[in-house]
Amino acid sequence: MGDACRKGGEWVESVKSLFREELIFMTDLQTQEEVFAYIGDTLLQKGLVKKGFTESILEREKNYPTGLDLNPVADDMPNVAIPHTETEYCNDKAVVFVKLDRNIPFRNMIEPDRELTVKYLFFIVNHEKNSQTNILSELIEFMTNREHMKKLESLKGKKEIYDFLTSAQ
Amino acid sequence: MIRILAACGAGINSSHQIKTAIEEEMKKRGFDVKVDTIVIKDITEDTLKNYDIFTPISKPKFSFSIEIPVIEAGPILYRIPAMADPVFDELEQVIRNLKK
Repeated sequence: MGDACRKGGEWVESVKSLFREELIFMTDLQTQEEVFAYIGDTLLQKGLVKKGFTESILEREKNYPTGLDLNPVADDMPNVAIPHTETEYCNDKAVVFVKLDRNIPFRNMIEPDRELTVKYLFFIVNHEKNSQTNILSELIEFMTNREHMKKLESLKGKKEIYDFLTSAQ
Repeated sequence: MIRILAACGAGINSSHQIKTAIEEEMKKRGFDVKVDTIVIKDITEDTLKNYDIFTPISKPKFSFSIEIPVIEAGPILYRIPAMADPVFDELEQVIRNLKK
């Protein structure tokens, strides 16, 4: 499953530009509810989302989970989740990156009855319904690249992670 | 033309990705398909009557029974052939069986 057989394969500028250094987080919170509330509150304070965002992503995650099992890519990969909700709860466009000290259980996007434990979260904040860039698909393409995730695993600081996310090829 | 309905939670992100991938791949395989996207909770029994095939991310639980073929399209989201190809192969088989 090398890069040669992938379509595109390029980490696009339009998605790189959605990361912000102040939206890179590391946390030792241990439940989905706690992490969602923490991120939701922070985004609300920054004016990036509207009231109700936290409740909405929690509800969405319950009905339409966003955990992604990266085992099919390689067996040494950490799992990820991509929480997102309706555009009406958002005021802006951004991708929020969270590295969890301890893996948290999420349910699998493509097999909702299955649980997996997740180490990285990429929250999508998007207020444009007809966005030109499919942020979700670009993020998934980034995550299913083994080299990207290996590199991410080796990075310790927020600045390093931000620089990598915005400069990776 | 084969009409396909893709569905996800918000009707924007994942279902749109599935739409693009299915249209591209089925065109390559020589089929004329059109994929619409929808929010799962907006689907009624009548909605599905307008389509030949239903491709949700994973099989939703409806209060009514689904009369058209259902293909779980979630693995397409990975955009890696090992995951996506079995879904496309199943879709191709279903399309051939429709004999349209």
